[in-house]
Amino acid sequence: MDLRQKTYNIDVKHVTRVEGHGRIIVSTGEGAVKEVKLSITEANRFFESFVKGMRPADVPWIVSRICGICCVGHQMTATKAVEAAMGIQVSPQTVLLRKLLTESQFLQSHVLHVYFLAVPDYLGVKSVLPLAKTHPEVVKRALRLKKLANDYTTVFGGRTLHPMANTLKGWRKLPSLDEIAALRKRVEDSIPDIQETLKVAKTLKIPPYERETEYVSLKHPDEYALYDGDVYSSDTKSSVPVDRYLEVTNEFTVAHSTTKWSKWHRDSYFVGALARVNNNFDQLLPEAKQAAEDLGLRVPCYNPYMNNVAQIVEVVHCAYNSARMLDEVLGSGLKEEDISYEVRAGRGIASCEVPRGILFHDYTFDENGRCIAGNAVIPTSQNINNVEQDMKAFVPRMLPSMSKEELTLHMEMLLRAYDPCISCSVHMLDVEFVD
Amino acid sequence: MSNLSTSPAIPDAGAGPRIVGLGTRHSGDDEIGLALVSALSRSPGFHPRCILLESADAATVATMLLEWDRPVVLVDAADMRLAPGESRCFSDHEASVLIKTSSVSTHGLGLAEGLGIARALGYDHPVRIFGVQPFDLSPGRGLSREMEARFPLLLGALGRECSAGPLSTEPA
Repeated sequence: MDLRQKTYNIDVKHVTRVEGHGRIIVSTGEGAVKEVKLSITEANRFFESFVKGMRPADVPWIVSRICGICCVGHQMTATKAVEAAMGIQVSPQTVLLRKLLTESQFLQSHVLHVYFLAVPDYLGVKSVLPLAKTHPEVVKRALRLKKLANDYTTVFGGRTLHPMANTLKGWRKLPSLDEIAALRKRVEDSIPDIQETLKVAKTLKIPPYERETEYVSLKHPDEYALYDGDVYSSDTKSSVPVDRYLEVTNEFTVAHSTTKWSKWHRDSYFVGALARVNNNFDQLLPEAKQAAEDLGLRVPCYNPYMNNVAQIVEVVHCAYNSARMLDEVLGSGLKEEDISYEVRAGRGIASCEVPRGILFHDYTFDENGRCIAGNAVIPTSQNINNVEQDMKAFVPRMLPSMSKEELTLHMEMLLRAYDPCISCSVHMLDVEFVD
Repeated sequence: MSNLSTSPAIPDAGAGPRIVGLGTRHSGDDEIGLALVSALSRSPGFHPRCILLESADAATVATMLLEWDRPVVLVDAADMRLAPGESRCFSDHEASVLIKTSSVSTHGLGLAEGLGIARALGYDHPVRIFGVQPFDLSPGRGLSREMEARFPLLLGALGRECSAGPLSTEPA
């Protein structure tokens, strides 16, 4: 087809199966790409203002509400930041329990995203609803894995969302060893479902698109970094301490987005499962490395669509690593710990990996222990710039071979591959009565 | 709030349909489902049947419906094009519960999708939805003052719906 005849005006006003308002605008004509934009029109949510005046222990519980999916991650990162401000040290037991809680959320979030948001694209259906009719066994498996992950969070956090058992310096209520032993068995029993997930993933036809970019994640010398580490760049092959995060994120604004954008050593960078797997592949457990090989994920991988595959690799890693950590808890037992602390003035900065990428929290308290400043830089705001750069590279490359419908679908799939959480908001039914 | 369970794994729910409060706290009137069911649970006879699912995603809703394997009354904020503060009780067959594509859902996967998945996987019990049209969904605060003023009326209406015997999918 003569490219000059390819005049496309694509305007996806609401990209579905992502959190929040994302709008994709593509305009081509006379064989050239005129405009590619990822427009974000979410309003500010002011959580950084809500925490002002709050006491140290309240801050993590408030910022947990930023997200109904990444609540553990926001809470955990805020807890670490507040502890840094207060000079609080935590015990090895608390660190272990926090790692378990963290991995429970990775399982929850990745299973939800892969099965409910991404897989429908690859199986040619519009959403998980028709998938439940055409592939009921796939959806039932997804529900089983999601329930296991939910219950896992409940065991350690007291409830599935916005956990309350964990707090500054430790745990307000420890789980019983019986609960942990039962969970350990269920994790082991879930392995067949995870193996079946790998089989489904092998059948997915990932679009063959590559664009090298900078991959940014936490890196830790001793483990696959999810809970702790320094900030690593694939460009420099080196890390900087978390308290220099502002040098990493370099937030800036663009006219067509209410979300701040980020860049570090080049125009944009990528955070999330693919960045973690690229940067920390050697520290994945052997089962996860095998899964990556089976699914054709070889590092460094520059295909953003493979982020979904990287999420599945992390599901395997977290399942096996959780079993190992649960054994450790069952072997050592749990003991009540003193969680009192002295309030002081100070600033604390912390980072955790959350399912969608690296997350930074930064709080300052006055001498009365009241929060006077807060800052959170979430993964999606770091990724949005990179998504648009991907789209700008993708459209001219694929324009000759794709119809408008194919191009639109691939743009949406590209955005969904990043698992963006453009806003985390209230939920409400939208009802239209049938006459 | 009462000491009502927010864990789906509650034991014996007693006789009658399960009464499920849905919503998100600190998000304005989106909390109304949680608040109403929490209040209803303090009335004699209702407590064992009441449960709160806060910020529940579709997978959780679907899993719970399939596990419970019994009729339910779902109480939630709903955009029904009614005047703010008004309520309506209807079956899921009676209304088109649209798939929400805007931000007001957990990654676009909320109650409607959860119900749809459960139906597709064989959940065939009656479902009635007690919807309340919100005044305000601003984050960072609880129920609006206007909704608080309407609360006793809404609670009375919910109590009558839940006392009315076996659920029917027919319009009330």
